[in-house]
Amino acid sequence: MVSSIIPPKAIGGAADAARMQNVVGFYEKLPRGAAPAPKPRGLIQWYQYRYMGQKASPMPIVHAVGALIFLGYAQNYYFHLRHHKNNAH
Amino acid sequence: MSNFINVISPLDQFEVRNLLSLDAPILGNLSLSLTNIGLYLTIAGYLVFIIGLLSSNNNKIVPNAWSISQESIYATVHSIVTGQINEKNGQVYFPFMYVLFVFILVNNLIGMVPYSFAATSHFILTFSLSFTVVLGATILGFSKHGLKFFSLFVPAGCPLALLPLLVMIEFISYLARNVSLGLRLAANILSGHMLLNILSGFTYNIMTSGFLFFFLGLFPLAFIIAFSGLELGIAFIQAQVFVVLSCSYIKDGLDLH
Amino acid sequence: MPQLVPFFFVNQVVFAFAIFVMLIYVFSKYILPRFVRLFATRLFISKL
Repeated sequence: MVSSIIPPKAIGGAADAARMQNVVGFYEKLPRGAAPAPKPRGLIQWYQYRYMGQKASPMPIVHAVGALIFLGYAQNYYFHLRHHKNNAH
Repeated sequence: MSNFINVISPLDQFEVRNLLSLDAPILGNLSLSLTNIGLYLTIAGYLVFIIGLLSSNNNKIVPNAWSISQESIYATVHSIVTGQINEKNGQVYFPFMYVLFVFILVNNLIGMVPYSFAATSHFILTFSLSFTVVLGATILGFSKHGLKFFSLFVPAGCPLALLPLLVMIEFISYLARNVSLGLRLAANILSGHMLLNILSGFTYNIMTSGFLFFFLGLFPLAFIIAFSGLELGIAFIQAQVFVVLSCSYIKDGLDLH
Repeated sequence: MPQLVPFFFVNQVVFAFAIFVMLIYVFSKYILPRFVRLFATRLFISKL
């Protein structure tokens, strides 16, 4: 009941002020404003920034499919397509 | 006539080939080799990893198109796992199920790329996955319930006279899970690819045999394109079915009905 | 049909399981927790 009679300044005012200052300091140090735009570093991050970032595009699927077709065609060519180039089955 | 004699088999596309091999006469004639199935499995793993890594939208809270695709896969698998196994205890199995889903899905989709190779059409691979899942669920059941695990084979409230028969049936159905889980996946992918291969071989022969036939061949070509769309759907559905059934088998091991 | 040779059975199963185990490790350690953190963040800023 004592605490309701005495004004808040009387109970350890200095300690509370220090704690408050900590809180204020913490929030002051937080970054403000809009988040900085991400700077891509390296090839993979550049790719992510270019195709999967703000402007998401389906191009990575096309790239993957293109690479797979190239790889698969190279294998097919090596293993049998070159053997009947002139005489189709 | 020679057209029909050396027509290549529709199974030719599934042939495993040695791309790179190393025979080392150590450790009992060790032979390391990179086959095309190993190559495509590696590519699938790499793709899964890269897509998971890159489609993060820089950890922003608002998703973009790529991270929303990942989130919807996450939500799908999560709802399967929590729905099939358990709301709370089932989440332990979530990473396994997620990887299983994504890995099978990406392998199925890689198989749909022209000139490419469908790794999930190989029975050895799908059987090894399904046997591992069912065997793991069985070990889980034994470690959790001990010998009470065998009560899985006894249907609730069955008359005593029918018991031996029902236990036999349940046991056989439990064993059949091993096979059916892997067989379903591989047979779907295999049959789809073979169908497309045969149809497109016919269509190619039709379309190259004359001017009029070229336009006649457009009709089966439309069918082939429609079937390709169907195969894309099957790639998703089979991955989902595999995961759903794996979850329900794990649930059987955990809860014994 | 080389896929009928048992050597290739072992080969592809070894490949499959090596990749599978690596993926499970990488996903459960690095990629899936990001989703959990993301969903938790959304929950905190919208409902709590």
